[in-house]
Amino acid sequence: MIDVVFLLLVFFMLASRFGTDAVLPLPLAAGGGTYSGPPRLVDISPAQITLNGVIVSEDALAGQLQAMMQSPEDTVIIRGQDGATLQRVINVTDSLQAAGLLSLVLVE
Amino acid sequence: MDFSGPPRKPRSEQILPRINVVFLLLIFFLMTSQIAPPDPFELTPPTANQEGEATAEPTLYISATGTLHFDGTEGPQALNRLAPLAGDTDVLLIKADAQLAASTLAKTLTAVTQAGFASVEIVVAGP
Repeated sequence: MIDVVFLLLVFFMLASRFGTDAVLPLPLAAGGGTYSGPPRLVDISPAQITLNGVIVSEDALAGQLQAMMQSPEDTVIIRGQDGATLQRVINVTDSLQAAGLLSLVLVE
Repeated sequence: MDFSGPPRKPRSEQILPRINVVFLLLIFFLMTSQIAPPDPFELTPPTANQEGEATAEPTLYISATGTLHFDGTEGPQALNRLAPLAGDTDVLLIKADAQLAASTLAKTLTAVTQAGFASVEIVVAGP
């Protein structure tokens, strides 16, 4: 009897999921808001990052973007190039969000 | 004269409290848990340092090769099934593989936008 109950207990402990997944929020292009200010297009390649076509280092990217926007809610457009993986894009998005840039839109 | 100590309690009396506790735990897990649906394919979510709590309920799976999966539907039909849900919630949870090409994801996001969602949440693993 207690064996069976233990078995059930262990099953539910292993099969159940508590809490929620950790996520990175990403607004979509139609998510409201209008684009304002100079173009902010970040191209992410496996080897390098370009901002409006100019190669920038990963550390300097957030600072240069902030100089081009009026508020942290301003949209920044992100594009994955040359088969850049999702991991690479998430890394850059992650560091930009840590720097306080909230509205990052991924486009083709 | 009987010098033997007080009669030992039968074993079953000692086991009863323990089974009560275990039953209590069992009922606790039964009530609080929701069985996690298994992923339709092998997925390694990308890692990130920053993370928030998921608020979205519908989950779209994208494999490393770009195969879509939503609620038992595979391929492009999965997107058709998303559209009716967009009215209830405008946030979609996306569980994609770390090795997925970013351009493929962007294509999917365009389709998700057309389905009526306003933003997505990408599942990440901790650092």
